[in-house]
Formats: sequence, structure tokens, C-alpha cells
Amino acid sequence: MRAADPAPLLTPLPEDPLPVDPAGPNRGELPVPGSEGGLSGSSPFDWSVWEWLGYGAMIVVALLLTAIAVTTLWWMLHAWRSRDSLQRTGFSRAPRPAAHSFSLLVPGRHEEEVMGQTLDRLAEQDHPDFEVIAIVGHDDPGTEAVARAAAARHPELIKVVVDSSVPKNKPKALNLALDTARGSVIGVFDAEDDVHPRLLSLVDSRFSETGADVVQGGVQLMNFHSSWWSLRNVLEYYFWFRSRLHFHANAKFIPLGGNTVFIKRVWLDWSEGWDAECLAEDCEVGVRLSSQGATVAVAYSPEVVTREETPGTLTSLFKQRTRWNQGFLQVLGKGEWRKLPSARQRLFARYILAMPFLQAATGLLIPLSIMLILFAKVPVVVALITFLPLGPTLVTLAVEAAGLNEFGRLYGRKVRVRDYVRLILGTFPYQVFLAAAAVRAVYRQLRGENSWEKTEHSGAHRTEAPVRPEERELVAAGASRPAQGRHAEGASS
Amino acid sequence: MSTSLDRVRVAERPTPPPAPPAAPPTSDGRTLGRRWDRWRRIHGRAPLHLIPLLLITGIVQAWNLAGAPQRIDDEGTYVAQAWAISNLGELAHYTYWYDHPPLGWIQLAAYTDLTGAFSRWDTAVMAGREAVLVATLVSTALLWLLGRKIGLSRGTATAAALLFALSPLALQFHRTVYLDNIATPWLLGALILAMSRKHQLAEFVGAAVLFGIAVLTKETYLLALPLLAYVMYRSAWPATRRYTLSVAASMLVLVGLGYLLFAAINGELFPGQDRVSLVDGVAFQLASRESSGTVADPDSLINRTLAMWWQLDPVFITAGLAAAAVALFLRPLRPYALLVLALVAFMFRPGSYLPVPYVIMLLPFAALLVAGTAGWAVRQLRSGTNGALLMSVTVLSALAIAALVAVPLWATQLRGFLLADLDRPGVQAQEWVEENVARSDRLIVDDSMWVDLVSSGFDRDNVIWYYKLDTDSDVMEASPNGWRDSDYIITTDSMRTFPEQFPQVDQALSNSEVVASFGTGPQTVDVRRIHPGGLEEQNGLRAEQDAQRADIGGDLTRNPALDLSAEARAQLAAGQVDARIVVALGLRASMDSSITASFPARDGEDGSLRRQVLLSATDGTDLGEDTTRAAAVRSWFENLQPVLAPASVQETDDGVLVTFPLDQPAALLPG
Repeated sequence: MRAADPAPLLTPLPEDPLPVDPAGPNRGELPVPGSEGGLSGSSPFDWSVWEWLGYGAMIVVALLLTAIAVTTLWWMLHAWRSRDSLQRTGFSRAPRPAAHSFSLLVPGRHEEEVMGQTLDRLAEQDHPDFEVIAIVGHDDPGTEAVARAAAARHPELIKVVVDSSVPKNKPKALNLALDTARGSVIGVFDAEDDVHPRLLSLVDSRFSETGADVVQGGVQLMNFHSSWWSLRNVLEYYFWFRSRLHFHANAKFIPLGGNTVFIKRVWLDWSEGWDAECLAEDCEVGVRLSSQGATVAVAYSPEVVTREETPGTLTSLFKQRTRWNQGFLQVLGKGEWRKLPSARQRLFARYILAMPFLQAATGLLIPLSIMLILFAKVPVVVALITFLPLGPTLVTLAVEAAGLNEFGRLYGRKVRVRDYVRLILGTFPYQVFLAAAAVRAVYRQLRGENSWEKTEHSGAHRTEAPVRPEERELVAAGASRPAQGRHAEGASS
Repeated sequence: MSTSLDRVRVAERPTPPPAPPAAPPTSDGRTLGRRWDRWRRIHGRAPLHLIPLLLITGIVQAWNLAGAPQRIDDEGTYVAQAWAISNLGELAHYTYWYDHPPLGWIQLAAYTDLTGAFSRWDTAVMAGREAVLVATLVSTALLWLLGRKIGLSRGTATAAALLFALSPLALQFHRTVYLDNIATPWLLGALILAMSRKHQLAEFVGAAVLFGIAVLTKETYLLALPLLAYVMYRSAWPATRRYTLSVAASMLVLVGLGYLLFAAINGELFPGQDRVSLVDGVAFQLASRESSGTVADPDSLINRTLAMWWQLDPVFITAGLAAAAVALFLRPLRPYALLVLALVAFMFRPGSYLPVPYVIMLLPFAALLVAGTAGWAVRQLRSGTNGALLMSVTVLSALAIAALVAVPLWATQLRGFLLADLDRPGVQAQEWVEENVARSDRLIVDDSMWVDLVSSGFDRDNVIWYYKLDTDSDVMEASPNGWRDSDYIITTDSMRTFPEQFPQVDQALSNSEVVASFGTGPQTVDVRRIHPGGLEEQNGLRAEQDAQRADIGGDLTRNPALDLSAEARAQLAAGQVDARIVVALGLRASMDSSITASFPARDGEDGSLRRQVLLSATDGTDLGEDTTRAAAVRSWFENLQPVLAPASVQETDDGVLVTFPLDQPAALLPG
């Protein structure tokens, strides 16, 4: 190829290519749009080992808490899942004819002011075949006199048994009465219970309809007006008996309640009555029967529910809750639930019995996560996940408000705006309260302190009853949440 | 102690009472078989309707998906935001400013990531169109189910779904990557769950969550809340209503709180100095968006939008509104009629902004009402009840007329959707830019080609979405001289419509000249060279250069070695041929005894300045492809000095085609 001859018209050619200014002469610095804000820097690939551990722990805790809160919420709503499930929770509208005989055991200790009325009302049951056995202590002449007076009014229905064991507790009293009971079904009531006269007929029918071995009836605290915590306590009962217990019955693992519980005699013979050593003898017998395959039917109809009252003071509620939690721990430790047939039921049992402690953790960790978000700089995704447990908590609050509204309508008690305010404001303090009771129960159990503590009652659930001048200390009284321990003084360890 | 005692006691216990027989197993083969039989008995005929329905919908939606309608800016924005999630780990390709909740393009990103859609298509927006096609298929099936739930016959439900899938109005909007299309299936799903009878609590919770997703996908879907609440309330059992409704309501609130929380954690909930915020974003959408004007003003935005809808399918719009009026009197359809009428009334509230895709939320319900009303009329006619006879005859004759009018209109429109390649200008413009513009140049573009240009190698700071040049402080900082810092502006219809809203864009338009133009009418896409010194200065310079080129071009025509057509001579003499071509031909003419050359214009360029030369023969021999002579010529051009270096040299059947870069070096000609 020949060298290129410059044409006459050309200007000299520059040797080098023209410089190219990559940014352009007028342009400013190139920013990276969106580098502020957005999700950058939160990529898990950029985390250090410590960030991985810290964030990982936060995420795991948040997800666990969410799982606990969601399962609790779902069980709380069990009865209202569908129309059919709500209808299944009640007693039948057209009961079958009576087919069983009943022995109703009513232990009472220093209950002279309420026991007479309770026995009289029990005697009004419209069932054709039942007896009432009042159990009183040999060292409690007041209560014994009241019980004997009632027996004199209804000689064919009421018997009195005197318990002279020392120390006394509720399971011992019940086991004693079992020897003289003649019914094919044994029922348990507390001395201050307000029992509807049609209850036995309905329970009898429930046994026939379901072929169940145990029937648990509804128990309801009534005095939600009394204080912020009694409001919460009342709602706990409402959701427990109205809804959640039905879930437990379906799951074939159920901690039974302390009263309005009816067990077939054959099963009590097998279980040799109640465990006199346990702080939660009612829960314990429920777990043992469940493990052996006994079927439990639960029924809650608002009109026939057994009415009770909350403990008189926050302190006694605290002691009561400690006792229940400790009872749960004892049942967990005793390990009868290991005999449950399926692994799923065993896991479920472990979860339920540990629940008070898991709930305590939920209550305590929510404020912790809020603090972390406020004061620790965490990636957006991690922060969002730590807020997750708040979701079910807020839904639970909405459900509780709905429940309070329904409770007011069902029982004809006016729910005022301030009750809703109390409900909302009480959420967090009550969580702390429950958590404290759970922690105390663990502490006592570790220390080996198995003595029971007293619960006080004022009879506020009986609107027709005279107002009592002072709060009394009652033994073997109190609310009947499942798995509660109600025991005579100085229960042995 | 006590435990060992227990053990002893256990041994002595009476045998426990017999446990009840185990419950019959619920999931063995036989029960499954029975369930399947039962399901088939009840639902067996649904697939006979659904499968052809979905096939037709899918084919009509997918056929020529990339051809019509032309890509628009909004589509590009959502796709670019989805692309930003996958490729940048950020919620948007510019700072996310809470203009819409991000869930819509998060779903787009999930789809494109999971299916690799971006690699399937030449233009990124089409990957987004594929995703909304899937959403539309789901919506079609759900609309059919919803129709069945409110008591329509299978045929009527199918008719509703077909109307929803095939109306040209629906087709145009369903093919476009609008967030509304992604929200529709969630809304329809929520409505179906809200009509549940069996597991109300769980399904109402599901409905609330789905609706929350719909709203976080496209905030305007919140307008359907009264409908959802009404449907839910009506189907709720009174005994459990207190719980089912309050749980559903609180779930919905929680989903909304989730978005607030996201903003709060980012520190962007409330307005502040130099930052975007959720409150600002919401205020923009609700208050400060410019009003679409009134219907009375023929040039108002609302009239443009309405005219666009009307032009696509006047029959469906008329029939939908008429059916809504009739359906007010039909109990099962009433909530949907109320929704459609309320949404239509909402459009006309004074001082409001009417988004173009607003109609998408109306489509499924209007289709449901038209088909539902027709189905009702047919049933009345069959049962022969006298009371409603007149009404049903009226409805059916109106529908018959509508069908007669619709057939030719739909046929024309659908042919366009299935055959026309309206997006070709955009694709060509992109190709032109990718071939001819240096990667260091800065471009002002419509978002519809943003991802493609960035993927083709432009730095993303050098591809500026025109909207941001006047609104985003980061972008403004990067271009301190505004439009002057950019080299090209590529204009589309949306950019040309209201340039006065964007002063920088307006300036860039007035100080630039078209270097390549593709398509005609509203579909035109122009590539314009920006002249930072202003158009006037450029025109002067251009005139000077034209004169110089005419001079040297005239000289070249007199070179005896050149064999030129009359047209080519005229082009040289008029200064329309690039100076580098003139120089190169001059050099080459001293080497060959004769050269046959012409100056074909490049596609898209108007030919007023030609930068291609086709050498078809030298020394009287054709320069056919793959001949040694052609190879020699090609090699000679490829080895020219840098200032004359061509952009490409190709051997073709007609000869060697040499293309020079767009910008001619300033130092080539004496100033």
C-alpha cells in the first residue's frame, strides 16, 4: 500500500486522537443516586460475624415470640373460627334424658358465709339422680355447722364428710369424699360457686351425646368492674373457657379446671383420685387422664356457666398465679405427659405446660426490642422483623375488646368507655404482672418452696348476696382456671 | 421418694377403662379418593370453562405483546424500579420518595428474578409486560370464581371473564406495566375470601391481608375498601361477626402500619430538611398533584384521558355504566354496581387528579356487571316472570345492539393489537443510540428505555430520566449546568406532551436538533443532539461548516477518478457529505484509477448530513462481499489515521460500506 498523500485541501492532521473528557467539562461530581436511605448496607453479605450473630439472635427471638403470640391468639379465637365451631362449644339446646348418676363434691374451708347458699343452690338441680357431698375440716366448726344445716334442709340430697387429715389440702378432701360417693360421675365445685340449676341435666346429656369420659363445664369470673386487673382476669377466664379449652379438648391434651368438672367414676378409680402432692391437682389429673386416652368434652353456654369472682387484691391474684405456674412446673416435671400416645401431643403438652413462662418472655422482650430499635442502629429488615411480635399483640387487643363487648351483652353488664381504656392501658402492666408471677414460680420451685398461699374473696360475683364488710382470707377458694392449685395450709412437698 | 412410691402404686392400679375406639383415619387412600370424587362432582365442570378461557386470554394477551401498545414512561419507571431492587439492592433507580408503596415493583422484581424474564426480552419493559400478563391470567380466573361466588352461571361467569380479557380497553391497559394490574388479582382474591361461609375467621384474615397487599401495590385500590367491608359484613355470621370482623380489620391496619413502620425505621415518616418522607409522598398524591381540570374544558387532562378510554372501547364503557345502573336493583350485583358508580363519580370530583390507569380497577367489576345483568335478563326471560319481563327484554335488546356495534370496533382494535408493531420506533432509536453514541455521553431519556440503555453500557448517572432533571436534588447536583451538561435528549410522546412542566427538559428540547428520527405521529421517537451553546450559535456554526463542506465537496466532484451519480454529485456540492468522507475519498482517488461511490443516508437520519459512503467498484471491478479487492479496501479504511477513523467498515453485496462517527472532529476543517 502506498503512503497516503495529503490532498491539497487538507489542514495538517493531528497525530493523536482528540482527548475525550469522560465527565464533560461542565459536569459536577457524579453522585450515586439513592445511596442515602434505601436498603443499601443492609445486605446480609456485608455483615460481620458479630453482626450476623447479633442480628441472627434478634431475628430468631422475634420469630419465636411471634410464633408464640400467633398460636396463643389462634387458640384464643378457636371457638369463633366458624359458625359450626361456635355451635359445637355450647350445651345442646335439646338435652337427652338423664342417663347417669352424679356425686357433687364441695370442699369448703372457712367458708361459712358462702357455703350454705352454695349447697342450697346445688340442691335445686333439676337432675333426677344426684347427691351433694360437702367436705369440711375437723378444725373448722363454723363451716361444718353451715354445711350440716344445709344437709338438714335437704336430708336426701346433701351429705357432710369431715376431713381430719393434717395438713389439709383440696385433693385430700376430694379423695376422702370419693370413698362415700355413689354416683357414676363425680363432679367438683368450690364453696363459693354459683351453679345454674339446669347444669347437671345438660352435663348428663353431654356425656351421652359425646361418649366422653370427662366433661368440663364453663366457669366465669364476673366482677370486671372492680379494677383494671380484675377486668383482665375476667377476660382471661372468658377466652379460656369459652374458646381455648375446646381447642385443648380437640387436641386430646387438656389441663382440667378446678371446678365444674365432671369425671366418670371408673376413671377416678383408675387414677386413684387426685394427686395429693401436687399444687395443681386438677391440671395433673387432666394430664394423666389425657395420657391414658380418656376423652374430654368441654361445654360453655353463658346461661349455665358457674359464676365466680376474682381474688380480692392484686397480691392474692399474684400469689394465686404463682401457685398455678408452680403447679404447671410440677406437672411438667412429673412427666405423666410423656405417656401421651403421639409425639405431636407430647410436644403440644410440653408447649402448654411451659406456656406461662413463654408468655412471660414475650411480655418482657417486646419492650426490649423497642429499646433496641430506638437506641441501636440495626438494618431496616432486622428492625422490621423485631417488630413482628407486635402484630399479633395488637390483634389480640382488638379481640379482647370484642370479647369484652360480647361479655357485657351476654351477662347484661354495661361496659363503659373507661373499661375499654382500662383494657388497653392494662395490657402492658398485666404482661409484666404475669411475667413476674412466672419468674417467682420458677424461683420458688427451684428453692423447693411448695407451700400454698392464701387467696381472698369478697363474693362480688353474687349480685344478690349482701356486701361483705371486710375481705376474708379463704382457704380452698379462688378462681378455677385450669391447673390451679388450691390447697390446705402447709401442703407437703 | 414419692416417685418410687408412685411406681409401686401404678403396678397395683386397676386396669384403666377402655379408651374409645380410635377415630377413623382421615387421610387414607379411600377417603382421599372419596374427597376427590366429591370435589369433581361439584367442581368438575369448572375446568371445562376455565381452561379454554385462560387459553384465549393468554393467547390474545401474549400475541404481539412487544408490539402494541408502544412502551410508555410509566412502564419503564416500574420496570426500572424492579430492576433496581434486583441489581442495586435499592427500592428505586433514583431515591425512593414514597410516591407509591413499593410492593408492586417488589412483586415485579420477584417475578423477573425467579423466571429470569429480563434475559428473555430485548427490551426490559417487555419482561414487566410478561409479569403483568401472568397477573392478568390470575385475575381472569379469579374473576370467573368471583362470578360463580355471587351466583352467576358458569356461562355468565365465562362471559364476564372474556369481556375482561378481550375488550380493547382492557387489552390496552392489561398489556401495559401498570401497578394496578398487579393489584387486581389481590383485590379479587380478597373479595372471594370475604364471601367465605365455612372457615370465616381464617378466610376473613386472608381477605384482609390480600386487600392490604393490593393497597400496598397500588394505593388507589383503597377506594374498594367500602365494597370489601360491605361484602364481608353481609357474609359474616352474626354470632361470630364481632370477632371475625375485628380480627380482619386489625389485620388490615397492621399491614398498613407495616408500611408506616418501614418509613419510620428509615427516618422518613415525617417531612424534614433534605429528605423524602412518607407524609410528603402522600401529600403529593392527595393534594399537590396538578388537577386534571374539568370536563367542561375540552383541552383538560381529564378530557384527554376520557377520550383515550372512549376511543379504545366506547361500547364496553357504555354497557358497563348502563349495567351498573340496572344492577343497582339486583341484590347479588348491587355492591359491585355501587362500587363502579362510586368510582366513576369519584373521577369527576372537582380539582382532582385522574390517573390514566384508574380505569383498570373498574374493568373487572364492569365486566362482571355487564355479564351478570345479561345473565339475569336471560333467566327472567326463561322463567317467564311477567314483572321483570319488560326490563329483561330491554336489557337484552340493548346488549344485542351493543354487540352489533362492538363487533366491527373490536375487530379493528384487536387487529391493531395483534399485528401492529407500534414499539418499533423506540427499539430503533435505542439501537441507533447504542451504535452511534459514545458511552461517555450523557443522555436525557424517557424511563421506558432507561434499563436497556444502562444495560448497554452507559453509566447510570449518564442516563437521566427526564422527570428527575427538574425534581431530584441528587440529579440536579450532578448536572450543575442543567440541560447543558447532557449531550442527547431522546424524546417520546410523553416527554413532548407537557414540556412546560419541566423547564430543563423544555430548554433541552429548544436547544437541540434532531439527529435521528424514527416512526411517525405520536409514536415518533427522536434522538436530538443538545447544543450547550444554544441552538442559535449552533445554527451559525452549522452554516459555516455547510459552506466549507460544499467547497471541498465541489472540489471532489471534479476529481476524474470518481464515478458519481448525479444525485451524489449534488449531495457533495450542497455540502451534505461529511468532511471525513470527502477527505478519505480524495486520498483514495489518488490510489485507484476509478472509484464508484454513493452516500446512502443512515436509517433514522434525514440525509442533510451524510456520514456513510458505499464504494461499489474500484478500477472498474465490483467490490462484492468476500472478494480480495473488497478486503483490501476495507483494510485501507480501517487503517486510516485516528482523526479519520470510521465507526464501522462492512463488506456488503453492493460494495464496501464505510460509516463515520456522528461528531466530526472540530480540528479537521480550518475554522
